[in-house]
This record gives sequence, C-alpha cells and structure tokens, in this order.
Amino acid sequence: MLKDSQPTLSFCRPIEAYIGLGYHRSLDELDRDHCEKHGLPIIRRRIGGGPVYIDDQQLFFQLTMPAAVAPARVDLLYRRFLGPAIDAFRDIGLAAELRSANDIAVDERKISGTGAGRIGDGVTVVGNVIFSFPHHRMVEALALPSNRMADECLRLMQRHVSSLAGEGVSNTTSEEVKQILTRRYAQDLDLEPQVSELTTVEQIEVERWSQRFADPEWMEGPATPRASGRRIRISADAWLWSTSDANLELEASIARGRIEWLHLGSISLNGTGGEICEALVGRAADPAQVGGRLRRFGPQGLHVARLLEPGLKQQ
Amino acid sequence: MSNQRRISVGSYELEAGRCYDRETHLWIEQQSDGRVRCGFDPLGAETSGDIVAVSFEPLGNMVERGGSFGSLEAAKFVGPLLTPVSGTLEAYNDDVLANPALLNADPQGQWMVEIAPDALDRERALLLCDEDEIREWFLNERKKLEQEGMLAT
Repeated sequence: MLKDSQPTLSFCRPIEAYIGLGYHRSLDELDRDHCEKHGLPIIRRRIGGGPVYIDDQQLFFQLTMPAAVAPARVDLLYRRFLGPAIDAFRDIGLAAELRSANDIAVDERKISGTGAGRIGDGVTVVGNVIFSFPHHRMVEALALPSNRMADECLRLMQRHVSSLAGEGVSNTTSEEVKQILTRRYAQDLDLEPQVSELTTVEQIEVERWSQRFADPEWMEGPATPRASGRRIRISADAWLWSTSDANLELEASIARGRIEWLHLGSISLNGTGGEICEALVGRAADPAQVGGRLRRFGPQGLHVARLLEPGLKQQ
Repeated sequence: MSNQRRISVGSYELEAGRCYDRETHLWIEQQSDGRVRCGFDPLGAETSGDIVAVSFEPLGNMVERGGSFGSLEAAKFVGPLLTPVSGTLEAYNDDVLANPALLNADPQGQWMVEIAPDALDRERALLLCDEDEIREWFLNERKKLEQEGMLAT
C-alpha cells in the first residue's frame, strides 16, 4: 500500500468452514484430529487472537489504510475504525457498542470478532458479521483438558457469543450488510465509494499468501515459550483458565468480574477442595480478595491462589 | 540499569547513554562486547497497548535497519518490530518472551533482542543520542501524542 493510497474496504465470505488461528497461538490449542476428521482446515492468520470457527455464515469486512494514517495506539485504532461498523450494526437494529478494546457487543454478548495488523506499509482492521454461529462446533475443535471444561466453555460461549440470528435479526442479507457497511465507512471517511475488483498485483499477492498459508513452517507459527496455563478468551468479560502442577489440577471460568466455576482436582488439598470452591465461586475475581479468602485454608489455600491468580487478570 | 543516569522529561525518565529511534520508539544500548540491546521507550510501550505476545526472528538471522526482527501482539493487533540498526540477531530476552507484559511494566529495564551491529557508526547518525536532542524530541512526541488523544494527559 502506498503512503497516499485511499482506504480500501473489502469483503469476503468463506465458501467452506475452517478454523482460523491467531498469529502467535499454538496449534496445540486445537484438536487437530477432530479438525481433520471433520474436514476443517486450519489456517494461521496474520492478525492476532485465539482460535475461531469460521464458516459461510460469517461475512468479513476489512478496512486497509496506509500505516501513516492509522493511530499509533491500538485501542484508538479500534475506536476510530470500528465506529462505522458499530453504526452499521445499529442500522441493522442491534444496540451495538464497543466493549474493552475491540469487542463489538450487545450487552454482554459479542456479536463481531475483530482484530488488526500492520502488514507491510498498510494497517488492516478486520471484523465479521456473524449471521449464525454453531457454538458446539467451535468448542469441539478446541483441545481442552477435560469434558468438564468443554461443557463450561460451551455454556460461556452460548451466553457471551451471539449472532444476528441469536439477536432475532434473520431478514438481513449479506448484500444488505455490505451496502450498510460501505455507506457507513464512506460517510465516516468522507469518501465516495468506488467499486473495484482485485488488481493483477493483488491477485498475485493473494496467490502467494495462499501458498504461504499452506506452508508447514507458517502453520507451525513463531516460536513462543510454552505458557504455564491455558486461557480461553470467550469475550472481553468472559474466559476460562486451566493450569496444573505436580499436585493440583485447576480449571475455572471467570465472567463479569466473578469466578463462575471452579474445579480442583487434587489429592493434596486434604479434603478442603469443596470448601475452597464454595469460598470462591460466585465471588469477585479480584486477586487480592481471592488471596484473602484463601488465607484461612493455609498451605492448601496458598497453593490454589498461586495457580489461580495468573488466570484472574483480564486480557 | 538502575545506576545509570536518567533524562527527565515530565513524568517520564529515559536512560541516558542510549540512542533512541524516532520512527519506532525503540532504544538501543551498546554493550561492552559491542552488541546492541534494543527495547521500547516509554511512549512506544504505552501506545502499543497491553502486550500479550512477542516473537522474534531466528537467532543468526541478518536484519536490515527498518526491517522486522520480530512481531508483537496487543488486543489482537499484530505488528512488526522494526529494527533501528542492521546486524545479526544474537540473543533474545527470555523473560520478555515468557512474560511480554514486562515491556509495558518496565520498558526502560527490559530489552528484547541483542544485535551484533554491522553498520552502527553510520546508523547511529540516524538515531538520537545526544541528551538535549533526546529530551526535546521526547517532549515534542509526548505533546503530539497527548494532542492526538494517544496518551493520558
């Protein structure tokens, strides 16, 4: 992209389902056998975030602009360039708003996954319009430590990830959504939309990247250290956390600032596991408060605190 | 680091004895063995948002000034880390790889990579190394970013 290029709004809609994996994330987060068995290709994308199930019920919009005109600060980049998308969702009839840095949500339900990246001299902000979402297929594609955690993941996802159908909007077509998004972005950028197809150079780049995406080295991703715990982010306000050491296996969900669910698998808690869960579930996920509640359980409480606390922070 | 002199610019303190890159908001500091350490200055760390992942090009790779020595992720944004100096990637900071949030918490104390530079004399001229120039530039950058709403005022 040249420094004086106009912003480009592009749309794409997958023909077939696949799993998209964020640039820095590990393939180990996915149940690759399940994906292969169900014909779900895995594609590592150029932008960030976790694994997501993508199918033909999602329309992606991407605004690409010269890096020089994009705000340097990431949250302002989203605020500036997701604003027209939020207006478009409102035009469709949804009370959409920006939550956290980059979730587009109706109340506590995320209705659009978004991300961004600097690629060469351009910056792209991307989001999707989800017409319907098969939560169970998303959960099935994840490699999770237990069926308990899969059940909790599905419960949280059904509550915190929605779609146009889930919000009662079933009569808006993909073409109508494109028109609304185009109008909103054109108004916001004060530009007259000009429809164009991919140039030859762009088509060559698309082909080059199609090959790169299939390259095993790209698929493996950048070398990053193995994390001490696993966080599965459902939305800005909801996530799961699992971790373990030689003596304790911990699984938890945190939503709206509270610990909603906790499982402790251990032979080292001397029968206090149930009491510890009772002391924490339904209460604030604030690390200081959690530490305070666990103090009365002595060494067992400290042990649980040490494993739980890294998972309490919102990301 | 803590024994080094500092350049005060408002509420920010920059380490003296380093050179700063105006484009990328990265600092470099030459070590006794000639290698150069590279990290974020406080404005670079602040505007990046909460950094959740970093990755670096393989050790031994040659990097050209302005080219990528790795990538960074914050709030699902992925962007390249562009090197202020050319040379060979010699080392990573494992602490930063394991806990990228350190770059936000202590940008002046945390380096990301060590580079064996191959054109430092020439490229140093493209960086700010003079304390007065650093102070003036950083002050102007801070004002500009504040006016653009990029920083808390």
